[in-house]
Amino acid sequence: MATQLIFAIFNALSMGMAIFMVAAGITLIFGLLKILNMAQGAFFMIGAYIAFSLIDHQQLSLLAFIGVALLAGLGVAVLGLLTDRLILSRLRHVDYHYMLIATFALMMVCQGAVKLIWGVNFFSVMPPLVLDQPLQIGTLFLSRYSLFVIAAGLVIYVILEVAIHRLWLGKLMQSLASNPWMSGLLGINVSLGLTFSVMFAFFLAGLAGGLMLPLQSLSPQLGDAYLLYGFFAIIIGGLGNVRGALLGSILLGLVNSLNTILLPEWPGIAIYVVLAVFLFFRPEGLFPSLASQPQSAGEQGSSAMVGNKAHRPAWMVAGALVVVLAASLPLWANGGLLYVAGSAIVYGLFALSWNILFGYTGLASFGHSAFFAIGAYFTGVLLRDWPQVPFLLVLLGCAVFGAVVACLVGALALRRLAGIFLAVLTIALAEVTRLLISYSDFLGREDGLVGIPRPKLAWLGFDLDSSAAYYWFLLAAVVLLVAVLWWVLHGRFGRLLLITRQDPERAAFLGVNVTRVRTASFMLSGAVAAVAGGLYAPWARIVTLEQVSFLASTQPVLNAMLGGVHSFWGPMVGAVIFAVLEYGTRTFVGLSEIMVGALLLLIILAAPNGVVGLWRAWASRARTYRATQRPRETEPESGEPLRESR
Amino acid sequence: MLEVSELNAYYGDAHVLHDIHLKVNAGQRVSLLGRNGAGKSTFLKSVMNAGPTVKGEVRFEGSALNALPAHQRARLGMALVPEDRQIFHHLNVLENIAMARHARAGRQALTPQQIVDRFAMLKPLTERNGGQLSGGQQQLVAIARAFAAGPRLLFLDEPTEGLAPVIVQSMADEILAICNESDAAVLLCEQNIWFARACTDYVYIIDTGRVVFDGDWRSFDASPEITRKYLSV
Amino acid sequence: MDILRVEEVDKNYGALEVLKQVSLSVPAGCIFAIIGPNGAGKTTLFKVMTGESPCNAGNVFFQGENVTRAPAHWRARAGMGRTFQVARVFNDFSVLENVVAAIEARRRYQHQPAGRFWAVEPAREVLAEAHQLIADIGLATVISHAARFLSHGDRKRLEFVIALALKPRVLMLDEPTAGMSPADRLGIADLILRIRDQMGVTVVMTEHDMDIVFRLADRIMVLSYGETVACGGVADIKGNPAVQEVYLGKEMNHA
Repeated sequence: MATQLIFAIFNALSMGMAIFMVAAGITLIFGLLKILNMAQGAFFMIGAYIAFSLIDHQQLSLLAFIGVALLAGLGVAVLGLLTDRLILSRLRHVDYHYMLIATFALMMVCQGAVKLIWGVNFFSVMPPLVLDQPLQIGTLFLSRYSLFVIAAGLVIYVILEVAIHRLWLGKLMQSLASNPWMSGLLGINVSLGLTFSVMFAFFLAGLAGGLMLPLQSLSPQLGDAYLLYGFFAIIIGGLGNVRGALLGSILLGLVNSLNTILLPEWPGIAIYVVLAVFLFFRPEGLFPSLASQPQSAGEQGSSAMVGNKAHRPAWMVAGALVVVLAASLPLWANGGLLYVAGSAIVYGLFALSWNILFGYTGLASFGHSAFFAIGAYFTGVLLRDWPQVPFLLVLLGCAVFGAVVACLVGALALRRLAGIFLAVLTIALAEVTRLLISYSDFLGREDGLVGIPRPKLAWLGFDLDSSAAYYWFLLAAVVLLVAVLWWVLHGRFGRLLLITRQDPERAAFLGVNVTRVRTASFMLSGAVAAVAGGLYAPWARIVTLEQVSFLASTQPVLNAMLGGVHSFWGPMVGAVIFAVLEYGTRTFVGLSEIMVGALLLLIILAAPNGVVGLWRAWASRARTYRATQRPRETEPESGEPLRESR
Repeated sequence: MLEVSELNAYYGDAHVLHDIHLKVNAGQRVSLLGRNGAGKSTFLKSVMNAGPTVKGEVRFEGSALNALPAHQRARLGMALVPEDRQIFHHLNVLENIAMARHARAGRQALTPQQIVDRFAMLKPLTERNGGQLSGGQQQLVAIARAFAAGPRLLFLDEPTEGLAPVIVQSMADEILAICNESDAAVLLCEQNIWFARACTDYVYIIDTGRVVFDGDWRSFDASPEITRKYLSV
Repeated sequence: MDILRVEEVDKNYGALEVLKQVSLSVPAGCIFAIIGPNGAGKTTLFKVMTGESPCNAGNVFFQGENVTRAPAHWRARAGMGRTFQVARVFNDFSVLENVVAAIEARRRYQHQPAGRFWAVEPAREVLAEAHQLIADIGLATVISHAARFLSHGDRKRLEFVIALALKPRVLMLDEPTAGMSPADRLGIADLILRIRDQMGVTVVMTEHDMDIVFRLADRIMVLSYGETVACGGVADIKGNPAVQEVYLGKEMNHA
């Protein structure tokens, strides 16, 4: 018994230290730059791959092994330099959500690049020579290599603590972080300092990747788990605090170790329960963090959601034409094109649901695929096992299911530090959904649900079995939903959401219960996303775990950003454009992550208001041009300042 | 030493400073007076290139500064003590002062300990963290900190704000003593005319972003309507 | 009756005591000014009263109810309006939309009709109320301008309109004339007087500009290093030697 206990604690510690090595980098970047770096796990993974390429199949001596890890760290630090110069430094003065999305996009690019360079196969590396035999203490066999990981974690912790609290360098960095403006006036090169700290945090990620390479097999999924655990550790420990990250990591290790002993058939679930409990009872973490919620500079959130009302009739005609064109598709398009079109319609609705949260309420969800999957699996199961349930009732069920889940997540996430917590918790939601599905025979585990039958609308006498029939149903349903959403979001409720986005504190002093409004918005968003999933399942006739992946969660973000988050129609426009792009480049499979991620980065850096934003800017410039051509005939119309200015 | 010509400054779309001309000779003490919101702080920030968008020319010791970033201006020997002090809360008094040595760039300067010894009020506080100081103490630390860089030109933004008159008197003596020794020039932004008179020998007055008067104290006193028009609160 | 009362409030940031046993009471219908040197704790006291930052000890009563722990939206609903030091309005909205949003917010929590939930345009009575308020404050000429393009003074006015749209009992003003031109200051001062005289709103303000304070305030409280130095009418304060020492002394040197 005692042996078992010691063994469990030993495992907990080694896992805890492994998590800590990733969490330390995340917490450093957050403490210094107020960025939650979603790409930290991916760079950890790249560090591991670099080390793998250097080691190959040899078995190294301990020293050479550490040397390789340091080299991996340096390689990743160079990537950090590029990242900072090309991306982060350009986004320092905009709303932090754009930074979150940018690092999320960067993570996709990294994953795609890894797949492209090293392939999707699993690799493994032997521990260095001295560490490959277990250590025997009495009857106890402990892995020397795990001991090494624990020691390495402790060494890194001590170095960080000393550097931050004892060395001048650490004090300098804290000064930079707490007051960059004054630091500059005191002769400190702020932007160099920030670049240096980003590089250091990336170095830590790469080093950790190298050191922990032999701990598990290497695959492109390696970064995901560590990223999540790293986030959880710093949430539990207190954001931006190294000691908190260490304790949080060890706690997670212990929880996971207990989980494998007590609930071996549900590996990895207990951590989520502990996280939820922590967020509920101690949202500020073990150690109150120095960092407060980053201020939204809001520079890019600079647009009214309303276009020029005078142009509405023209746009209505255009909209009607688009609907007619879409409705005529089954009559002339081939099956492939029809499938892409149907999917684009669903993804448009999905993107719109994401933008209810982001564009209207100023909150970003990074695990929106969870809601989509909830709707898709719910519908799939009902159609497969209980086809007698009316389909419209099934869709209503999706909406309720999505809203309830959103309400639960919102209750945990929207209390303090709303933006950051929601980002992490939505990722966690997607991950826990994925885990639960993969453990359930009923939901088809890794294989998903296949051969989902299409529904019949019995009381209307419609059979939606053919693609064309279901496509028309899909189109009608989405048009109807979008119309309802348009009304809701352009009226009183929309204005309520918009004022909480623009200035939550000011809104609170107007008697608005900001938490409730945000929760309501999140529920609406979750419900619509689930309905989109519900519509999708019978269309694709197959639902798999792919629907809960990071890539799937990026899809609505990308579509909304591509079209323009400051416009109601932006997400739909984006979905259509992306579908066209995808249809055009469908032969380049395997590049999807790089393409999606890079496109997203490009939009954030170059055209943060998306295609609709570009269009509005162009239209307004054209109008000013025409106005100057007609000298002084008319004053600029009074509605002018309402519109997009950049 | 400092020569500003045709300086215009903007915050976003707001045009805050209009065609400012201003000169500080080596070792000279100059006041910049004006009401709250007249543009004094904006002017100092513009000269340091730390905040507003700036058009116009700023020359320091003969060379045009153009788009030189704030930290390099600091290294040239310009030190700004901002009105809201901006003390680092996680550092103690000595460390706060030492932080400014990054701008020393090889110039002669007093060590942090020497500086603390010169300010009577700071001596008992050296180990205290910035966050635990009162407003007045923070003000002194901010001024003391500026000296750690061995500045050639010191910008003081309303240093007397929030200080008791007794402290103001001794502070004036302490500042002037160090400036005299190191032959540093001073540009002082103030609302407190009494203090400005005690410290400086030339006056600029700005109002709503424009220079409306410049001259020595005698010509200032010769036209009392200026005080009434631009300075009375 | 005292509409707002603060009892023995303490506030520390770490080891630094910002407020020490501060008490005050504001009679309904008066203009109450809090003055003091920078760092005296004015802003902190203000934040304690508006609920922006919690105090370590003591209580805040609003209309007889203990609101020490009440969140911002609760205080707003109970009738506490406020403005910020740097005007905070909804930048993406036009002046009209700003005011409409505020009126709709009030009607929602007061359970008054605010138009149909699905109606895109605001209800007629809401629009009428908004136009009336905007005209009263003198923003009618810029009614359809986006708030981000307004001048400093107009933004401040808009913030007043937003606060007044809630029909508050008390209006909390944090340095209402900070960073304004003299002409704008006088305009704001007149506005504050009008708000009190015509709408019967009690005003609590912090302010640097002595001229404004002496012109407007019925009662003045002087803070220094987190402690009350004096509290009374304009004449009391002007003649109080303790006040002269901590604050007014240097102003007197001007003349």
